[in-house]
Amino acid sequence: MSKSKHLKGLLLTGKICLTATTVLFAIISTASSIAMENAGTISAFLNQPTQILEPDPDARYRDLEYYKSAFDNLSDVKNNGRVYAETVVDEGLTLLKNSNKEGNPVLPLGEGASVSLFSTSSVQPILSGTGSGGGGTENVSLIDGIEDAGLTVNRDLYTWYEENFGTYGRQWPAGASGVGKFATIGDAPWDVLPEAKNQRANAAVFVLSRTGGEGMDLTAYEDDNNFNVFGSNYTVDYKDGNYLKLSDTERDILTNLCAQRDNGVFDSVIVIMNSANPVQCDFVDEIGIDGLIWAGSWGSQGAYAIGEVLSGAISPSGKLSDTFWKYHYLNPVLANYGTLVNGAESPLVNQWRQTSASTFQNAVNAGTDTDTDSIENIVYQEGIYMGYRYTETRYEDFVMKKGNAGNFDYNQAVAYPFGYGLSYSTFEYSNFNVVPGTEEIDHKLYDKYTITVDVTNTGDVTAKEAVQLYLQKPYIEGGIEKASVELVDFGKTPLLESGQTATITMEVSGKDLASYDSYDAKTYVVDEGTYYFTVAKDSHEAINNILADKGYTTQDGMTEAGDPEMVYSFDKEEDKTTYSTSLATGNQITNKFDNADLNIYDNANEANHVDYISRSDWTGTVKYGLNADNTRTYDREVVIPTQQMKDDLEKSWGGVTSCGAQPTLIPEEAKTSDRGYPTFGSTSTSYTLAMLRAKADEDEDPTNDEWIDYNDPMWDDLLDQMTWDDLVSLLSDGERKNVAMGSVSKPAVIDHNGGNGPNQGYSIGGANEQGLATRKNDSLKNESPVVYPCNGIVASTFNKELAYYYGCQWGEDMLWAGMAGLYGMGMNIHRSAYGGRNFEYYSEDPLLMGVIAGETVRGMATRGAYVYLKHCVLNDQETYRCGGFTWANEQTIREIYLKPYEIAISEYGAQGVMGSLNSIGMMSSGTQGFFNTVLRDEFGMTGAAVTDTTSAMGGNFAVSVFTGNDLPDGRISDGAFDFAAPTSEGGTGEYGEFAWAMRESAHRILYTVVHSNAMNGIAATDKIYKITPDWIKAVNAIQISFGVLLGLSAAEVLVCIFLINKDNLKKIFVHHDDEEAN
Amino acid sequence: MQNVILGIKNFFKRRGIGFYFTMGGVLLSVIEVIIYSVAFSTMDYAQYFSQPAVICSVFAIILGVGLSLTKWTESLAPVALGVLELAAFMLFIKDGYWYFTTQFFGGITMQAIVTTYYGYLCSIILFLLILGVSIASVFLRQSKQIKQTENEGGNEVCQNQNI
Repeated sequence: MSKSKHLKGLLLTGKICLTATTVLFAIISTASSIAMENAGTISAFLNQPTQILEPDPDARYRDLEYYKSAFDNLSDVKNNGRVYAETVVDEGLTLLKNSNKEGNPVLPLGEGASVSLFSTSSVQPILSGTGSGGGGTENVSLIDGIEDAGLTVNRDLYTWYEENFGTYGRQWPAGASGVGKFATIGDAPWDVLPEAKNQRANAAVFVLSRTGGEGMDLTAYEDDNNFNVFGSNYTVDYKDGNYLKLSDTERDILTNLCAQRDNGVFDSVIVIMNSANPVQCDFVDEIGIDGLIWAGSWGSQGAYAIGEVLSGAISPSGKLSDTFWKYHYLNPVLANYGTLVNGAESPLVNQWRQTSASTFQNAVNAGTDTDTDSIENIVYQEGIYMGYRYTETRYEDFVMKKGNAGNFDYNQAVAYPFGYGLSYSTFEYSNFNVVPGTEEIDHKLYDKYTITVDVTNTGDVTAKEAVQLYLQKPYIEGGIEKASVELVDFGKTPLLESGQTATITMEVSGKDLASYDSYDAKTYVVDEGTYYFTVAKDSHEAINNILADKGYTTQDGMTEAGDPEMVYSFDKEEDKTTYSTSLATGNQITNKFDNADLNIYDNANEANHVDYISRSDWTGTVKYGLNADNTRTYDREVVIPTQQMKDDLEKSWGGVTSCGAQPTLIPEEAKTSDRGYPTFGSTSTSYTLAMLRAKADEDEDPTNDEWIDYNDPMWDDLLDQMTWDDLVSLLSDGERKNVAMGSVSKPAVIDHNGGNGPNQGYSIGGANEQGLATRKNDSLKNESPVVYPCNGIVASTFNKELAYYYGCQWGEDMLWAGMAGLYGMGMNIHRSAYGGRNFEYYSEDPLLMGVIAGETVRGMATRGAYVYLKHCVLNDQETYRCGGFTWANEQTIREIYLKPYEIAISEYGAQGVMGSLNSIGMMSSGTQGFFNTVLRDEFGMTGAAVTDTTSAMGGNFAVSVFTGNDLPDGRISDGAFDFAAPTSEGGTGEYGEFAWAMRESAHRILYTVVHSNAMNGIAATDKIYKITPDWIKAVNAIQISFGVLLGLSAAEVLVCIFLINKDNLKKIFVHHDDEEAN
Repeated sequence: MQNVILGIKNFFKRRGIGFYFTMGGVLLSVIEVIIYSVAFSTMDYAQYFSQPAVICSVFAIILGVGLSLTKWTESLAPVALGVLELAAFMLFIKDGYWYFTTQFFGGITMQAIVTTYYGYLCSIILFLLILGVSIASVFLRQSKQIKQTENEGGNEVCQNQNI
């Protein structure tokens, strides 16, 4: 080979290498850049430390475990979790029907009884939901649970179901394990079942399962687009497109089971409803089953509870946390829920509806209904009349012949009312007594009512009873809307033996008598008129008691007689001042959600005008989204974008869903004021965060610590120490954590999912040696907590004490995992049965949810765990949950949707919330401002607000820090805060007030963290430094290596080119020299 | 005028296949710049728009054409085009990856793919095509191989040393 050819070969090789290394270097540089933007998340995923603790050896003599576990090892923690996961189902599981054709009870079956389990779900029941709130894999099978209770199970049939689940069981589209997926119902038709189906048994137990999850609501009606996601390989078996209705197969099986019962094969047919979302109960009487138990999604241990209830080892004591409808189409909420908000015939099923000012402007210009599948409006047209507040109020007006109630048939709408639940025993209430009194709050006296009632077990079975206290406020036609009954407190007896009596004491604050007047007083007012308290076994009994007290009887159309003995009535005068200030903070309460009332955009052509459901005209204001045959009515609220809406959208500083938040859209108020900029990097003090955990304590007993007040001047000094870089790092990187800060020795903290209980592995905090499982190197540290049941079941226990201890267990899980903050619990309202995430939320009733969740929060706090209650607010459906415009009036928001947050924060000390991805009116929830103006100023929230996932928001949330957001659930660019940098950090110094807001956000986060288990093991004199994780070093090394390779390849190419052209160059230069010589 | 036409004819007559690949890449780059700029000019997607990416692409077009005009620089034209478009592509990815995390938040499904914004799909396809074409062009001759001769004055008439 000639030298020239050899060089050309080398050149070709060099060119190939240069091309390859150039491409690789570019890819690696880009990937590295993206990785650095998400460094915290990657470090957590790779379990690599981001901080180093420099312990002060002199401080090691004292106890630094500020929050202690009750257990020595993880095995005991998990076992305790199993106990509570089961106990909650024991007490929450709700018996709805227990009588055969002759009216005799069919349950309990008694120990030793035989059962045949039917349905493919009997071998694979639903234990949790899907998405971020979903549980792990631990599972006690139903057969094990039932046999453990001493019952015998038809194993031949069970085995057949196990072997044939793949053929007949529910199916998921490919990759459907995550969010936003439907499942088929599935089940083996009666005809294919083996001969074992005819085996004699005391009971045929049919498991009726439905699932739900993040990102997609359940399907309520027939619509092609709803089912496209299945693909052609799946047969959708929803009857009339309604997932919460029996499928034809299920109905056929139950019909055959009842026929078999009539033939003597079974004594009874029992249905266990295994679903957090209530299936409509029209089938119960139509088919003629004997027993119905609601068990929700029952978690890993619920099977034991089911066995115990079937056998009679325990008596059920759960009360429904939702109204169970006979026909869902009669629920007016569905007129404006899910995809029904869209007027198109086949609206796309989608959780994302991000839009922008320009898209909106196009819609304004078009001037038509927003059925564009890019702008969606969810109007809470029902107002406060949702769930039992609708059914019981319309029922009362129907009986009293008021309010144009029309031909309302209560029994056609409601199968089982809110609060309903049977027992194996019977209870009598007596000595109902109400003592009006006062309570002193902040040197002022407020009304307070103490209510007692004696509950006697009049049956033969030892059992518990949940007592519910309802209030009726006077409704003045045309005035503030008021439900006929509202749950205001509840209590639960201990186990009562036959004949035993317990006195239940309940309390009601005078504030509970007030209603929110959205349009006149614009604050809480107590209307003049007669108020009623009643104790009852469910919401329907409550209104019947009150109707009886008013003199009404079944002759007037009551479904059954009430008990006036259980009613206490009293008159109040009008009071517009007492409750116009917050009992928690003393701040004035006035409208903060005027922007969410669609009527402010009411225009002349009758569009954008909402007639909220009013008890002054039921027939005229109630809409139904579905017909009896489950087809759509299209009777819904229509929103037509207007120029004013678009202008307001732009005023929301960056767009509908926070996605467009840009520095140029920062409000004027964020500019530097007279107070200038906060101090950063001060060295005049050298506090560590741990020093602000508690006041100096001579005994150094961590259990006697007195917190340093949020407004203590020490905080100012600590915040002055904080560097700008640390502040930006804290506020820009919050995806399931908050980062370490060297300038104030703040530790890195894990905040993580889930909505109905901790669901992360116990090693989640291992990277920074957080969590007892890692510190003790427990052999089970790679396991996860048990699967907790749906929160609806927790609510249906109606047991505050149990909820508290349940919270202690959640706290234990977090303490051992090294997790300080929980992205939970789910606190949205069960506005309809079709909510995909209803398994994470508790109830249709705000008080029940607020109290049960609040008690759980209180329990968690004993282990140093804090919460981000989510998703605040009006994020009660999954369809269009991101970017959908939600509309409701102030009363509805405050009395229903914010109420559980208010209770959990004001009364139980919940520290934080997670925002929502929807828009409130024309403003994103993050920029609406209510985090500060309501949650903090009125409810007294001291902790942080985290966004919902910023990946859905385009990764930019910086501006919303000014309106009270503190952390992004994601990672945003450090540069997002550059506009607010002080001049000392190279900024313009133009946005001083924004910098102050950033500092206050840090304050809130630090205040929350310092009172959490994240401080365990850290002494006041310890130092914490941020470090570069190994993976970042590795990425840098790879980048440098490819840079070197790129350089070498380029050098080789250049050398080859030089050598190949050497002769030509020589010729040129020689020729040139010759010319010069000439 | 005839000389101009003749000059143009001669110019294209001596162009190799690599030149046409480069010009193809340039043409695709023009299309890419237009589509990217238009598709991402709406506020919905403006947050994912990378101005430096467009600047890189514009320079790629200018250099791709400019360097092809002279025989001394023609071999550098596909290199400049490829490197600058690669940089543009990387900037496009860096500023737009949030969109993908949103779009595919629920997993990489057919529904997610088919509903991906056209601006993204077109831009990605165009970037990949441009890179493929420009890399191929680097290895192809920009001018036809013509035997080197000398005229009477001893000046080089034509050379095709595609380096």
